[in-house]
Amino acid sequence: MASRLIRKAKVSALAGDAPAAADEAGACDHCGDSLAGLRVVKRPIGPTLRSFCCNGCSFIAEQLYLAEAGSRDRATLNAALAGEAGGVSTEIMAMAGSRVQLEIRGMVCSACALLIEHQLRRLPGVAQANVDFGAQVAYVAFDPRRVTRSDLQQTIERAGYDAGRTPRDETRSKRVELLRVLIAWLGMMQVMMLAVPLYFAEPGDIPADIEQLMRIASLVLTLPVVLFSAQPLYRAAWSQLKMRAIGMDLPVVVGIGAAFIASAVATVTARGATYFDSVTMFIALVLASRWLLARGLAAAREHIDAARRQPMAALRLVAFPSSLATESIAYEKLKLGDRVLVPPGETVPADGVVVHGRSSCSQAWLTGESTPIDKSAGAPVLAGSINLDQPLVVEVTRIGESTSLAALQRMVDEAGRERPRIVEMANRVAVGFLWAVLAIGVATLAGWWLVDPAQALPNTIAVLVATCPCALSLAAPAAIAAAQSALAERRVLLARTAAIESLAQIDLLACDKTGTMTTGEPSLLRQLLLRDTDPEQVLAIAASMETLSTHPYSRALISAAQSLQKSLPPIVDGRVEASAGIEATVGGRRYRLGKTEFTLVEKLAAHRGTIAAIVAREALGATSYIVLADPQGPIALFVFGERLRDDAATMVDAFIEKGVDAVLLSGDRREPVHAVAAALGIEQALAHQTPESKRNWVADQQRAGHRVAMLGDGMNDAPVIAQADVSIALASGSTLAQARADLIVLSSRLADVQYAFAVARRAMKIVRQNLAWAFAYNVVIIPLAAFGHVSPAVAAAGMAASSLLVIANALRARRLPARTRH
Amino acid sequence: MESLYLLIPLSVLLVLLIGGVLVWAVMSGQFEQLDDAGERILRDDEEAPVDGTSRSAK
Repeated sequence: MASRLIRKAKVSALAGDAPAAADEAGACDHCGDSLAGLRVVKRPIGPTLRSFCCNGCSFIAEQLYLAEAGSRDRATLNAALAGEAGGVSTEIMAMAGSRVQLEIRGMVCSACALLIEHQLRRLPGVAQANVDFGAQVAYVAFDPRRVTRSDLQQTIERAGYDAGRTPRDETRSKRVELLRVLIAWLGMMQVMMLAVPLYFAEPGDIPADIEQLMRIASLVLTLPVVLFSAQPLYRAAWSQLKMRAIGMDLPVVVGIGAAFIASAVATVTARGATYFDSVTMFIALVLASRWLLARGLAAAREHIDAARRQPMAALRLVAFPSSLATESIAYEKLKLGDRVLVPPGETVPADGVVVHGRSSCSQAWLTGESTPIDKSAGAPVLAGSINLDQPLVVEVTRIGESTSLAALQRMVDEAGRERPRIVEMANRVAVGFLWAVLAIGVATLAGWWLVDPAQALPNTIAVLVATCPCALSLAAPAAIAAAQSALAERRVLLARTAAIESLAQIDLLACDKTGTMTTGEPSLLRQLLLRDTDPEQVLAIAASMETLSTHPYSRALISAAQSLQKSLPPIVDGRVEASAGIEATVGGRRYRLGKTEFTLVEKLAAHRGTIAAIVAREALGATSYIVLADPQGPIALFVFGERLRDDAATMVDAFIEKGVDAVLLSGDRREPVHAVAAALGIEQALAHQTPESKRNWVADQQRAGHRVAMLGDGMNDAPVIAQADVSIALASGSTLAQARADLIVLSSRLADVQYAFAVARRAMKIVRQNLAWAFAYNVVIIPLAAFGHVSPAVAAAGMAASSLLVIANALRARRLPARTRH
Repeated sequence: MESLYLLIPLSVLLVLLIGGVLVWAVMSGQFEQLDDAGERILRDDEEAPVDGTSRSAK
């Protein structure tokens, strides 16, 4: 009963203190926006049918209702869940099964991820299995009665990967990986030292027995490289064979294998050419570029994981009404009915109901609404909301899998599964290349067999070695590793390698509004005077009073006053009433600052009309404002709104200039969304979007052939981020914990988003150049080798030159030409 | 020229020896936390091990 009253109060507060608007029949039950001209969403929330302006509002209202219902009666909650078909409620029901995250080691490409998914889904009782190659994690939803966690682990291990290992094993495997690279380089250097004299020696300069001794030494030095260092390549090639998804590793292994076996045979029989130098150099270069790439990815992942571990503690009140003592416990350990303390600035840990305190909370993570919402005893709050003002005591009514946060997570998983998988460009080339090389090899063998059988084998091997797809296999990883290090310098984390390719190809940029294009913090937009006074003096008085409060509007007012370099007058006898306003004496006069009802107390009736008239005239219905008044009546109105980021317009222009359309997708109301779009020169802007409708919109655009990048804060956009071809999140500090995106911009500067796009484009251009070079080289060398004109020295020199050229070219991805640098 | 008959096998042995040292160095963690030695002097408690996720907050 009490909650009903509060809900009503909340609606009027949301309508921007304009009760007239809320009293109209045609207003959204949640946000208070007018329903005129909208397709009204009717949805039963508990026992009553209500009207909403959009699915987003109905989703939030339902979540709030369920959070509240939990405290009243668990049975009612269950009935509400069971009784309703369709929509979010059934999604929550479907999550009754178990869900685990398994860390996987040993994946080398997205084909590995696909293989593991495949194997996991074949298990009985597994409802869903998604493997995120970038995060090296498998998300599995399963029925615990039919399959266990260790079954899942065994399945992954049978497929040839490691799952859920202890940190000690991980340290060991990291060390082994480093050792593989170092051994390969040591081997390469020594083999080169033995090979170089042979390049330059005239026939007869080196006695035959010395040459044979050098070959044996080379063989001994190459063995550890081939047997130990190159192991990951064999494993990758083998899993590609099993998957019938041929990638870059198979041609590489064919090349290495052919060259090594031929050289070993030549050494033992003392006849024919050896290619130990090519073999070791190739392995060393491939391993080094992959190791650098993997190390960059691991560093990014560690950074995110470290942030993720931190905010997962809640403050549980041990014996609430009698004492305020708290203990810090993990989110997952919260139980129904626990009371938790949420200090200002902290995140609400679980869905629940406020039992004590008054404050306002930001739900921006879920809805994109920029306006804080008042919460007092009895009001439901959602997990992930941020408490802004005063401490709140919250009773937990829903936990773990049934919270709104988990519902969002589920949408993320689904979108991840549907995401179009990008086959890397080099891999596509590799398949054709492999078949071409094998065909030419067979043709060479057959041709020489007819002409001169003695020459058949050496020339076939020359073809296989000379065409060894060194440049091809280095082309992409080297350039991407260079791009990654360029991004890291600007504090942009790359969480998924293929994201560079996707980012370079986008033609549509979908942007979130709150916290992305705007700073996310409210700022003072306008100051409207109702009396003939000095506006700066009025601002100084208001700012001075606001020093008593921690509300975001206070910060906005104070920073506005500071920017005028006004000194703040001293205040006496100040008092803060939560969610209402501040009362204080400044310069001998008693002022009130805050909501209309609070500031005008007894004169409310007399001045309400004046305020309403101003609100109507200035079209403030959708914005937030507070009133400054003294006992004689209102003095000024302060209007707040979001401020655009300084570099937002520049970034949008830069993308449009490069042929990428920008679209604004926001959960906020129409007026602020369209205002921001207009200020940035964005033509298409969609308001009232839910995480789900954003995702659908992106999916529609993808079906229409667009490649979409999503730019957001990585939290309320999570489902759409998983759907988009590539996602970029501005995140740092506490928001980093919940951020999920391919690229995470820690600096939170939009200029760095623009930079990342330029880097990605350049990196892909370099990859194409490298592929073109490798192709040209092969076109020249294959006929020569097939006709027996390639000596071991030429083959080795050609290989070295093309590898070094590719690496040198790739390093250019770290530097942008001056004109693209802003 | 004759000396090469001895020097080449010797160089191979030397490389294998260096390889062995490398294996020991990597596997005993000599290449991890390279800044650690320099930072050690700034730490008060010599005993506490430092692992990225230290719980010094307590």
